[in-house]
Amino acid sequence: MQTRSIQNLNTCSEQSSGVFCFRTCMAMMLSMLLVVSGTALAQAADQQSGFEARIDELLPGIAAEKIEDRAKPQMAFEKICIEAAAPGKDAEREALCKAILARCGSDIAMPARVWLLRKLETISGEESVDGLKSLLSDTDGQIRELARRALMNNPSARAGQVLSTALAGTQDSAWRVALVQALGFRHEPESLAALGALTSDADTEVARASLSALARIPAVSAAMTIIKLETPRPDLQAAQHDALLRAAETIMAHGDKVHAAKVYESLWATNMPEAVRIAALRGLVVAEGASRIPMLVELLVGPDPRWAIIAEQCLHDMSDPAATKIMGQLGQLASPETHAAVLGIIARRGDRAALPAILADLGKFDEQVNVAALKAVALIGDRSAVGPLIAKALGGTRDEQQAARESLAVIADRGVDEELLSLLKESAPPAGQETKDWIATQSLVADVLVQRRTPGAAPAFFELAAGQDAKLADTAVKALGKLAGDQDLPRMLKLMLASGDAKKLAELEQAAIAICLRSGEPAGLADPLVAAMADAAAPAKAAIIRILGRIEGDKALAEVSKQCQAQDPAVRQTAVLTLTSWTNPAAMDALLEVAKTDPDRGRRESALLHGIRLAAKPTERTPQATFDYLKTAMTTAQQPGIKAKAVASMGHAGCLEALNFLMPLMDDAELKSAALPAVAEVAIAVMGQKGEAAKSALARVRRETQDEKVLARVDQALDLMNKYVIAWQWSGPYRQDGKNCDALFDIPFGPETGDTTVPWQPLPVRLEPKPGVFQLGSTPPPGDCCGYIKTTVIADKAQKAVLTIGSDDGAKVWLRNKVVHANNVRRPTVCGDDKISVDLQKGPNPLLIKITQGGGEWSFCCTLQSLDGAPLTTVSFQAN
Amino acid sequence: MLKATAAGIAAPYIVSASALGRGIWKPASERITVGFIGIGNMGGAHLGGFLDDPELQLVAACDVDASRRAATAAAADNKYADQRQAGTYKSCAQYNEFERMLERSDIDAVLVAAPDHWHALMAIAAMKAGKDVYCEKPLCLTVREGWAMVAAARRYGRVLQTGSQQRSESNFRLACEMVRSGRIGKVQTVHVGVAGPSQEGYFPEQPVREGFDWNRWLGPAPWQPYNEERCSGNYGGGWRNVRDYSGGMMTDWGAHHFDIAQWGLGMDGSGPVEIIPPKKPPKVRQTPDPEKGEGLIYKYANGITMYHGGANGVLFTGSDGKIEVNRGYLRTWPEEIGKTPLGAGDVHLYASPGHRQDWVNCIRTRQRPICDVEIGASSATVCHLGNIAYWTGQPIKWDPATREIIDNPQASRWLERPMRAPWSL
Repeated sequence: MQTRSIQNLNTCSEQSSGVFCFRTCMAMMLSMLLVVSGTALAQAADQQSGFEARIDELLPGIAAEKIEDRAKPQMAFEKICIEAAAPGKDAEREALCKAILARCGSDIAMPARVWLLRKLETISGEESVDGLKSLLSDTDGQIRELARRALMNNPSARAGQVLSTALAGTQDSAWRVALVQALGFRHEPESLAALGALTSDADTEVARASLSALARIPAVSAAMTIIKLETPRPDLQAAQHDALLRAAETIMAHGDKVHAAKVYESLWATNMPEAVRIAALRGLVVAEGASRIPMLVELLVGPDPRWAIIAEQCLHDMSDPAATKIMGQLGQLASPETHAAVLGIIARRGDRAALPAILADLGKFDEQVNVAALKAVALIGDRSAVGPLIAKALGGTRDEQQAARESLAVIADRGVDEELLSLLKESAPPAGQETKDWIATQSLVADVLVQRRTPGAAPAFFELAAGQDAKLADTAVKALGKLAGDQDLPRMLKLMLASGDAKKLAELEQAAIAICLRSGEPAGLADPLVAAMADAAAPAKAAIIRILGRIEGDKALAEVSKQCQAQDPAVRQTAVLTLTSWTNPAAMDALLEVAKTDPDRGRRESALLHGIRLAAKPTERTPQATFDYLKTAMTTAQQPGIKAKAVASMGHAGCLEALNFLMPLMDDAELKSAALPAVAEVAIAVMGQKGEAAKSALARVRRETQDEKVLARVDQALDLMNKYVIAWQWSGPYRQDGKNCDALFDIPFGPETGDTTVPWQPLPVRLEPKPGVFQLGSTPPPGDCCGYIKTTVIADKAQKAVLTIGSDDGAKVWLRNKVVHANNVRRPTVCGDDKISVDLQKGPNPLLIKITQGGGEWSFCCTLQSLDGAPLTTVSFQAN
Repeated sequence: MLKATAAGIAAPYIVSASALGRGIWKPASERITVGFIGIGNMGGAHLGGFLDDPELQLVAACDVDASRRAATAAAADNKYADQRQAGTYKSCAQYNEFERMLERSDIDAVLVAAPDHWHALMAIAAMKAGKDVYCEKPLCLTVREGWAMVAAARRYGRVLQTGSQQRSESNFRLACEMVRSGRIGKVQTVHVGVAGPSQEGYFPEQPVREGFDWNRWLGPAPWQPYNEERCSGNYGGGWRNVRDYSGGMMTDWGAHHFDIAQWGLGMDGSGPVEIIPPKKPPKVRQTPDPEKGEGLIYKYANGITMYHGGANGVLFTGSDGKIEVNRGYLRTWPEEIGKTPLGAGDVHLYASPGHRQDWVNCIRTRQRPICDVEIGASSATVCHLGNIAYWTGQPIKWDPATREIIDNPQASRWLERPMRAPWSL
């Protein structure tokens, strides 16, 4: 082809006559175009047959017998459609659509026809219209429907014509409705005649559908067709009202508010349904804007509270820029109640242009209106409102004062903060203001700044706190307690060191504590506090020690421990008292030291008791360390009562040594009552690891205790041992950046890859919150992560069994290093959720379970049962 | 407007409860009469709260499953047993067709908790009938449906609360207030952790169960044979994951988390301008990992980029810090960001008294609720545009003002879907 064209050009260049040459060239160009066009046609035909071949290849799968087998081929075909329909590939898309229509005849299986035709819904164009037209009269209703859908969403104008023609050619009521709705979906002005004629159709459904379809056409002609319709039959009333409302919107969108208002006026008639009247009222307001305000105000003050609320919302929604001003003027002419209501509406409209008039009128009207105006300022105020509001807050009636204060506290304008701060920084009354009035203003401003949590206000308050006026200084210190941040603590400490007044020192101490407790890291504030101790007099030292006691942390503990040896008796007394109030078990050793060395017996005993108290708190200490501590406390104690408390606390030391230590104490008359519950608790904690020793200890407690609560716990524990697998070690949490719980399920970590360096620790048994359910990780639980638990099932014989798992969240199970179960799910732990049949070999059967965590609780529960659901008696468990 | 309130004596099913001396209950004439449409997972979850609410009175239950509507009616009758005995309450009526329920003039408001493909039709019909609506999220199945709902709500002056109730939870509000007050500096990115779009559903045909109107369950969706799972509300595999009825987790959870992202960015009523699909789509029902190139990307006109995936909930990242918020927690980096209370000069968003209570209040005051229909439509639009990008595999340019896809007629065809007759917008 290319050769031929070049030959023709050569021929042309040999001609001498210009005209001849022009004609020849034109002929040649035409010939070239035909060739190119022919080539394009050939390419299109090639493309189409390529698609047809691909469809033929996929067809058996698309219509596979088993429905789930259709997924892959159907998705493969959808991918072809998506790619062919990408912008700029129109020829490819056309070829594909033609291929679909060529292949979706009645000779192929129905599921395949359906799938192919559904694709035309989003990719077909002009090329498909004729093919789809013929399918509109297919004998199968589902095919007709698919053709209709494809034509509905086809961008070719001819698709609309085909649907209109089909509509004219059918008498079937349901099919007519369907075709009318298809035209409505397309909302083309070209459908106007066809649809307009059907609005009076004898078939109610057809007429109703036509009204709705007409209303979708965004053309004035369509809207006018609706508007000009005669009064409808009763069966079409609701449809025509809706169509009229939509038609009014259409013509209004084209700028014809006059006609729209007329439509709304007709629908506002009192004989109209209420829903239509509400719509008409809203339409009138949109069409006629502020000129409808008097009508709305009339409704607002009218006898019907329902219409008053609707009018209020219409006033609020009105976008006419003149509305606010007119509302303000009208409000002034109305009763105080109405005036107040209008002011509220103006405020809700958020129109700041109304502010000057409202401020200027403050005080001109009665109290009710003033209060409404003051409240309105809260929503639309700015710095210009500060002066008038302060005046009312100090000089108005009680209700006015309250409204003014509330408004000052909430106006969302940074300029108000600046204005208030500049007032606070004034060091003396302005000319003409009496000192007492100025102090009242300053106090008010200080209160408001605190309420507003104004950023950057602390320096001004420090100035005031160091000032001469005691009342203002007091206000400033309180304000600093509420506003100041970490960075302000050194300045606060300076004030404390300089303060000779006990009352002021106490206030400063409270303010400093408030600052510390508000900090993201209170313990991190120890440095300035410890540094301040060097220059502090005894009262200030005591105050700082108390502050250190509130922030806790290592540095604070070291300083307070040091001060427990202070020479000044008051300082020493404060330090020991502070230490005994410590909430973190980190203070246990310091307390023991005081218990051993302090010269005062009362302080020694108090320190020992509080050390024992802290030992009972959850801590990072190992159970063995807790036991050792309590054993020392017990030997240090001289009072039998304190010894008993140490024994009782040993219930929190869940280790075998504690159990062995406590067992003989059940024979000690003085300590028995403390020892019995402690033995029960330690036995429960170790029963996963030391089953036999725990069982025997529990049995003895069961025989000897008189305490029903202890008895109930022992019974619960023994029951647990029978029903659940409780011998576990665990390792975790494991995380990977950006991976959530679902993804972590399939990411292998050390315990599942056989890494022998992975740290494992025994999982203590707890009866709470739910027996048999083990909690993993810390409290509160960590974010997305996973963890592993393991045990070894020792079977007396080879046997089949049922392993049940409940987990929060997903669970994956390995038995003898092989995955026997995987459930990647987010759920709460419900015992027995997953049931897994397992084959146990005689001897050891290592069992590893991965539990994922996607938020909330992180836990699991596991049982091993015989096939009939009874507990297995032919197995034991080893956690190590 | 409360017709039951307004008419006073027009309520045939209930009369004043004030005579009963039950202080907590509003007199019947002040109670808002409610009908339920769709009583599956979400409808069922709402039931207890609605029945316990002294401001509401459930008078009608509509579901295509006869046993569900009967159980709901029985629960209501049981709850109102005292009133029934006193003759002040007749019974909770049952309906298969919601249109019949909407014909009742003594119903003030409806809960729409049917599957997503029904939301627009039911809510619009209810608003035309003068009812206020609590519509479960996502608001709609397509972009055009959402904005048709906005138009209907404005046209008829109705209150529509979208069920994206995270807006009524204080931690989400606080997170958005902090972002909008500049606590993390200039916002640069947002990550939204929800799973991916819906897909085709492949379910074998089963006999339709007794008392279940399958044709009506399908409604505007293309015809498919019945299967229990196809119409199940099961999050793992039911209708929520089937394209004909739902946008999948992109819209189901997206209507929560993308909604919060929009709120935090101050984009209600607007949205992104560009949506870029990933080369590698996320795995089915899994949250994508943007670092693996899985999630799609949204770009806003102000330069902010939003990623689908890469967060637990919603993660806002700014020039000076980060805020991540999800149900039950709010984290900030640095921690101080979250410890300093907001001041009066900061951005304060409306503090809803509770999602249902806010709706009830707005029914009385006619104000717009916290998750007004326009907000629901904006957020659903973000989710649906994501789905269109995923499904077509094409980048989309979006004009939030005209609400049209720019220069991509093929993708535009997904903005609205043909409905099975006789249903139409």
